Amino acid sequence: MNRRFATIIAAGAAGAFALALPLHALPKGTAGYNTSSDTPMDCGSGRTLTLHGPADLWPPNHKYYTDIYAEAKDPAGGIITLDTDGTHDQYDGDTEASGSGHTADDIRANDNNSDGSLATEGSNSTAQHPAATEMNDGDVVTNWEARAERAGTIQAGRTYTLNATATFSDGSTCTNSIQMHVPHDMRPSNR
Amino acid sequence: MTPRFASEDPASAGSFRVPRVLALVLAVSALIAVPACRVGHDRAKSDGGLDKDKSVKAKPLDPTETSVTTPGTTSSTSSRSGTTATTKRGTATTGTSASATPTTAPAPFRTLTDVADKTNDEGLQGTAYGDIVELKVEDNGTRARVTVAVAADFPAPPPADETISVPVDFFRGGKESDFQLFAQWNGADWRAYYTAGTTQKQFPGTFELGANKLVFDVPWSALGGRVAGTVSAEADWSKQGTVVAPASEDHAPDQGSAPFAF
Repeated sequence: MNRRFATIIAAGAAGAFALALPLHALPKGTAGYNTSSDTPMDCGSGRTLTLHGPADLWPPNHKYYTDIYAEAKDPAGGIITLDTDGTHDQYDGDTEASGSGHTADDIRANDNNSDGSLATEGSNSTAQHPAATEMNDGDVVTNWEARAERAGTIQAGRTYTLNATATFSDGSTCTNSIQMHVPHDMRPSNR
Repeated sequence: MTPRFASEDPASAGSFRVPRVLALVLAVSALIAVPACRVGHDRAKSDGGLDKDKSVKAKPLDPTETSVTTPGTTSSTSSRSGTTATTKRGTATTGTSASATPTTAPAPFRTLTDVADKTNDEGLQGTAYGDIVELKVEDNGTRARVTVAVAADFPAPPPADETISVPVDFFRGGKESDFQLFAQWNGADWRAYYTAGTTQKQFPGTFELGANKLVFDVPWSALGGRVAGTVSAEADWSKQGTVVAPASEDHAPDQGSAPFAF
């Protein structure tokens, strides 16, 4: 009887999901535009490396979206080195694709970290691919920010990529990555 | 013989269990679908990433309400939304007649900065209504009136496959804009949004559009107060295409931002 009841509930839930999905299209990305969510990575032994950011940004008003960060944790409190780097896909060599606005540093590490530390420039940092390195015991956070901007000439929109590598006290490493997209326009498929 | 309910009759239990199962499935479906519906409705309130509830829709621009001035001169009195000089009718009470209460005419606007931008500098694939020709900031003591003029009248309405974005940024000494008035045609309507720092807030004034002009009217308190700063504007136009889309971008001033002072 209990198994039958559980089966009925599961069938009902599946049916509801199938009904709800076409009637109310899910927001773009995992949580809608300009809304950050966590992308966690299990690094083993209770350690984690989480990237937090929006799946999509709009409108392209050149303003920074600031709710972006990488956080590495070690419950044992060991020292962690967190390397992060960011870029986007609308560069023509050293310059941004035409129509990207007059602003620079479209993705960058934000020095105003909540843990009070400063992000030092990573050794592989370039203007088109900025990087940052931070160290701390047990919990290290590096804040980033990315402009809501895209080249009007590129139909596919702009995709930012934020990468992170955590190196733990025993020398083990863990990596994670997220992408954040600025669409070209608000055609119905992007809404 | 006492009638037995069908559900109590083992012989008919199977046939009446189906409606009960169906009712349970529908109830579970409703419980799950209702929150999902609400997600969809909340989604409709957003304009992509902006909250439509905090924006204002464009009103038709009254051509008599924008003054033609030269920098440093006082313009003619103009009536603006929220500051229109009207005669109010007093409340009528028994034995008395309604009386008019005169109101003070709004202070005239004077130009703080008037940036002319050359035409046909928006790019080869652009359109004339994506080509800024003037950015003007005016002051009437409490409010700022910001006018962006383009080289041709905006289509009424623009095509649904076009996106037109016009950010006007106010700087208070930093590299990033401290306040932004942002107008956008999103394929459906013209709306204005307001950002302080990186936070969207309720648009604090009015937004009017007509012919070749966009006009924002907001209190100076929304722009960091009545203090000197710099201002810049951009017109970003693009059209849906296949791989490559027609697009243009124009800035006023062409580089940096223009100073204004009181």
